[in-house]
Amino acid sequence: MAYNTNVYFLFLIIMAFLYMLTPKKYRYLTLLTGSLIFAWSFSKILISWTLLAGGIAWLGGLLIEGALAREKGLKGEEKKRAKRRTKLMMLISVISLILILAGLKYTNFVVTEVMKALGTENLILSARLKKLAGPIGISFYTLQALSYLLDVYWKREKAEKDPMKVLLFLTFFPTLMEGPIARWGDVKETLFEGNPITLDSSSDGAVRIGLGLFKRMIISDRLNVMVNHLYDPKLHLDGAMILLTAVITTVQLYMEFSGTIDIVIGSARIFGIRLPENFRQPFFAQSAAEFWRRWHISLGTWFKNYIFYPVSTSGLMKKWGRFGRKHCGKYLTNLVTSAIALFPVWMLNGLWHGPKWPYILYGVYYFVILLLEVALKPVGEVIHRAMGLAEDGKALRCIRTLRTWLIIVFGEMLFRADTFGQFLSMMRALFHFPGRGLAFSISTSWLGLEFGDLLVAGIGCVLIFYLDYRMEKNPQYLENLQNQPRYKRWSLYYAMIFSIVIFGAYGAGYSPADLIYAGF
Amino acid sequence: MDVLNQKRRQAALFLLILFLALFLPGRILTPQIMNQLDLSSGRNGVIPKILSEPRNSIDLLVVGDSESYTSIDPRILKRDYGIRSYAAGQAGATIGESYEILKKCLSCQRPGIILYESNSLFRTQPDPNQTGTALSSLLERVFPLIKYHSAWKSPFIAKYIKTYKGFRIDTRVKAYKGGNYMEKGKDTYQDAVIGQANLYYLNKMKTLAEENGARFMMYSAPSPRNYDYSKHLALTQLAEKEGIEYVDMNVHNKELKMDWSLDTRDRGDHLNVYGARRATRFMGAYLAANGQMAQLQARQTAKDAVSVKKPDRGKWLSYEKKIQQTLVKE
Repeated sequence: MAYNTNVYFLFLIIMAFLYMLTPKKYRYLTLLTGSLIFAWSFSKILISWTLLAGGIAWLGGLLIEGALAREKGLKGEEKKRAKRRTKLMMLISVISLILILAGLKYTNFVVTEVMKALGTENLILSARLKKLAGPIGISFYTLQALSYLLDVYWKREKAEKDPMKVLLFLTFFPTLMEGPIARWGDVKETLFEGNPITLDSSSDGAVRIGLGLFKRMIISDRLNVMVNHLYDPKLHLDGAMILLTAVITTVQLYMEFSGTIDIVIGSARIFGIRLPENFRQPFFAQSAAEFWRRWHISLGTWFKNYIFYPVSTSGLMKKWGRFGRKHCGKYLTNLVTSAIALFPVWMLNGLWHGPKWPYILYGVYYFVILLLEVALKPVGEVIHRAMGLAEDGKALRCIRTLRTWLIIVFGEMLFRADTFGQFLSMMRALFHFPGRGLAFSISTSWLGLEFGDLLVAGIGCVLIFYLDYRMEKNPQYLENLQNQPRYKRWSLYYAMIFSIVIFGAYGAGYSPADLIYAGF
Repeated sequence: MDVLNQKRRQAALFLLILFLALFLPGRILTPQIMNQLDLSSGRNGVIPKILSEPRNSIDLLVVGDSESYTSIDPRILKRDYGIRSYAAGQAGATIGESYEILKKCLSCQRPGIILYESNSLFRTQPDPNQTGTALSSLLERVFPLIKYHSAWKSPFIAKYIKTYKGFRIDTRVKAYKGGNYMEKGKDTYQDAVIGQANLYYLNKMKTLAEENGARFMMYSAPSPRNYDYSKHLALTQLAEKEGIEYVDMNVHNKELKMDWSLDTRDRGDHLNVYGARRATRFMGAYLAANGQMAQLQARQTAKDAVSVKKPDRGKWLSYEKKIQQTLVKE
């Protein structure tokens, strides 16, 4: 029942009908029932872990709020004790959730790596650990649960008394598999309201779903054939082909992930529920830091709010700030502060994607890149001045954009590699030049796609990047389409539907791209 | 209220137009018309083309994916044994699709032997009992446009690629230089698994063939890109278990006299006409040695044999000439 299957859309239609038939007051319960059926269809008995996480989040929130309430009116030592109690409540809840996530997701990896390091392989233990699996969406809903508990602890949100609402917040079926990682404050206004499904909400949602299907079925699923072909272990690619593979992989991942998120956001909008955006034209970024403010925004925002800020504003860091400014200068102080705050963010970012060395190194890669961006900023400014390049000039913007693309493409090579060894061999092959006995050809048979498919994928990419360009100029561009004259809107809708039906890479000869992020 | 009603009417009109626009093309563009309009090139063309063959004019039918229509050359079987064969393979076909093709073929043909090329056994086959597969089938039945949606590719499919009775006449040569790919222990596909849905369709094909009085056989075309020792073992075990006659040409490279510097068009993925000639002769000899060729020959009426033989003779000569010229050039 993944978001790219016809069964999902059948389920969505059934859910919409049931939702409309339910009295407004109980509609959130209909959504919860549907979400649990959706989760069960993937997780089966493992859904109990999801229910447990929901229970911890709900009870933890109430206990934390209760403890916070008891702090009021207390003074001195009593207040300190009460605060410690509140903190303890928060820590118990947070650590419980982290332990479940770590236990199900990382035990196999950690134990296997330790056994490898010690040179003792236990086949029975390995086989048992391999069977250890988490429920669908565990990485996504755990972060949501943690954000909820911390927001209650920091008094940003009030604890919810109804456990069903907390469980719906964690398991809402459109967001369960790939996010976006919503915060309680993002969705509380619309998720439980039971807003009616109207023609406007349906068409609004359907347009967004159509856009997602366009990205997925016309571009991503088509490029997936090419990516699978180019990653064939029997193909020995040279540098140019490796670079091409990396670019195609990056584009395919963008279309797959952002397309799925469009389907998710569109599905929610049908029910009148507004979810946070997860992408904002990432390829227009001018630095790696900006890229991460535009790509998988909800994950970046989560790490910023719950790791980066707490670390960089902690007492220890404040002490270092005062000491550093006195003895080391502003530049070095800021650099060290950035390094200390960024390191856990990127290590955890890498680990969040999964227990694989390439993911961990992916985190390290961005940690180094972002630190270099901070470290080299003054040097860059000096060079720009010396070359007479205006900081806001077009030339410098182009250079920065190209540099960012390179950073992204190399990052994606690491991200998509099965092992670090595969990444290294790809990097080595990058310096093999065409005509040295290695395969280089842009002929369609080497790309794994027919000419017609390449053409359609190319046109699809141009259209989506044009849309991104328009969205960059006017973020309301897509929303404003609803205000266009009917003939224009209908023409556009029919064009979108028929391009998906006719040019979609579905059926025989194509293999739909997996929901890559659902695996995290 | 008026605004709401107007919106509802507009939405209904939008959906009605959409339904008609999806429904009508499928009623007008039947497979036969698509064939006439040349909209059924490539993988869409297999069923319309085989349906346009004269009734009961095929003795040996080959099904499978692209490995099938690049490995068995009906002209060689015709010339050497007088057998009328047809390569009804489909590019990238799943075994479920091959089953559908076989079903269509058997509605108008009575072949004595059905050869299934095994490569698609390792391709992901959606479970036919899953809701998604059933839903897709339903949508394809109501809106045939969905089923034949790839017809737009026809103008882009290289028209210089000639086919004869489904066989792809490809004279391009791109050598395979990877050495002995069937060596034990040097497998690429150690994790290759034959799925349950694939087994389900394999048995359905076998049953269907037997119900129609045909002998069902499985073979693996020579292909360094697609086969290795692990797959050979898996297929041999499967064939024994299911009681299917199986020929793996990959373990007979010496007998076939394969020359991988000449016999492949894409570095060991598919055979070209030279490779197909070796594979077809091998298969022909195998069938003859088992007495199956004689059975097929006995099935033919003299009238059929003459009517098919005459027009094919000229094509065959020009084909042989083309091969000889290419060989001399190289």
